[in-house]
Amino acid sequence: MNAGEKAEPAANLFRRSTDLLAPETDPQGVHHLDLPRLPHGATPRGLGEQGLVRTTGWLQFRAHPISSGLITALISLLLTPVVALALLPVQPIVSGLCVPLFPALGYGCWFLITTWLVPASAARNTGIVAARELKTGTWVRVHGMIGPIGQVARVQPEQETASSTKDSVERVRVSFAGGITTSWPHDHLLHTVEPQN
Amino acid sequence: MRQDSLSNPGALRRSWWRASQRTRLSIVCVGTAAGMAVTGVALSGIPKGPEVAAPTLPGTGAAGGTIRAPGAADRQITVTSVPAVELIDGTDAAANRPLAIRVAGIRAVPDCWAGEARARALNLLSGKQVWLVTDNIHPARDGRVHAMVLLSDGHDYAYTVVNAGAALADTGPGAAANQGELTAAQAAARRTRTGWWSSTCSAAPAGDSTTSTSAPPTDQVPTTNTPVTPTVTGAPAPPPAMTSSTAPPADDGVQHNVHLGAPCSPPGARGVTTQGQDAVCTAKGNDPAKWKKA
Repeated sequence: MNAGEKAEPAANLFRRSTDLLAPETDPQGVHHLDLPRLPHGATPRGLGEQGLVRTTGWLQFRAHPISSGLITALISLLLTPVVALALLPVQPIVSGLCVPLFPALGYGCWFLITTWLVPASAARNTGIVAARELKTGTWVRVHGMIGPIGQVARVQPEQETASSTKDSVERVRVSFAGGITTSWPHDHLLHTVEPQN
Repeated sequence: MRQDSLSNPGALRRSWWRASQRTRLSIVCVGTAAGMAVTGVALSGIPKGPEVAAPTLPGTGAAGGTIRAPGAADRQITVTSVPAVELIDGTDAAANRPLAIRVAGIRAVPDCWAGEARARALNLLSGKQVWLVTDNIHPARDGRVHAMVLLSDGHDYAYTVVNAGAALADTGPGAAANQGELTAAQAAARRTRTGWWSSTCSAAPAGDSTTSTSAPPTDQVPTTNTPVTPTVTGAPAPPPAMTSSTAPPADDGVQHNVHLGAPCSPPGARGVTTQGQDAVCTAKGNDPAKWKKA
């Protein structure tokens, strides 16, 4: 599927994200408190208050993201014969109308939701990068291969001592545009993305 | 949307975001299949089409019976004449040849009401197109094709006339595929005194071919011709039970739809089984007469 999928580190799916911290007060007022911006200057659709951006889409074939709207239309199309066959003896006209209407209705619902009700941006995964290699301005997935994205505003190394081994573990502290901050091991892999709108 | 919904999501969303693409695809496929199955089951309860009201016979108000669509193998017949309620002459629409039909599962009412029954059958059938439901289009010994007949609206003709009291159900074994339905229709007609069951002739002693009794009505009407010993009771309870002895011989003097081995009367009478075999009412010694192969 996606080139980055194989490199995705094994993750505890149910682990709570305690590593994302609330916006910290920056005494110097640096730019990471500003909202993230797209290359052309607009704020992305689905922008949350802390700078993370809600995204739509959960399937990507190589470099090509598959629109969730298309998947919704496809699933609606699969449901159409079931409904159409059941209605055929009693409402043949309605049954025939189901064939074009169901997929259109499914896509329309998806469009309405992602545009108006729960706005979300389309985003394309472009690659994988270790946390220590993050650069300012890079967009990354915050939780995994899909889900919300954030624009990196600042990356700072930090030191942490593992209680079990007494070994020193290198970590990086990443601040995102909008204010939210998190800490990851320096070799933690993240999916870089390219927001579409 | 809560402020922390993206930075601090619930377990379900977190697991969805962190799942591999293959896992997500599997979940969606299974969900879609389950949705299709549930939708299919939910919609399977929709009736398959509007129910067609059963035709009613004049003056009876009788209606009901199941409707079936004619099959591809069924033949369409244009009725040309109706000699009796259970006899239909017509033209095979496909082969364009005349066809004589004996309707399976019914018998004529006694002679005293046969004219009325025929009139009602004519009203249902005359000039109409009906469907002949049979695997065997070849005539039986009596020269007629024994078959189920569907009216143009899909109703079973036999059920319609029995339900209207214009014919009697043939309760002999294997007389018709929907024998139980016909027997129930006859019971209903009798209970509501519909058609022949309401006539005075059904209560009066019949002529040579019928024997009315004062016995309480029974729904089982044997097709054989065993003489019935009248039961003496305090008061007659009309309508009388239709017994085998009420079954009139057909116009040709031959008793139809008889069953080999079944009791019969009078000895020496001729009959034709439902399979079209000739039979003779034979008595041996003191044993009651029974139908034997001719």
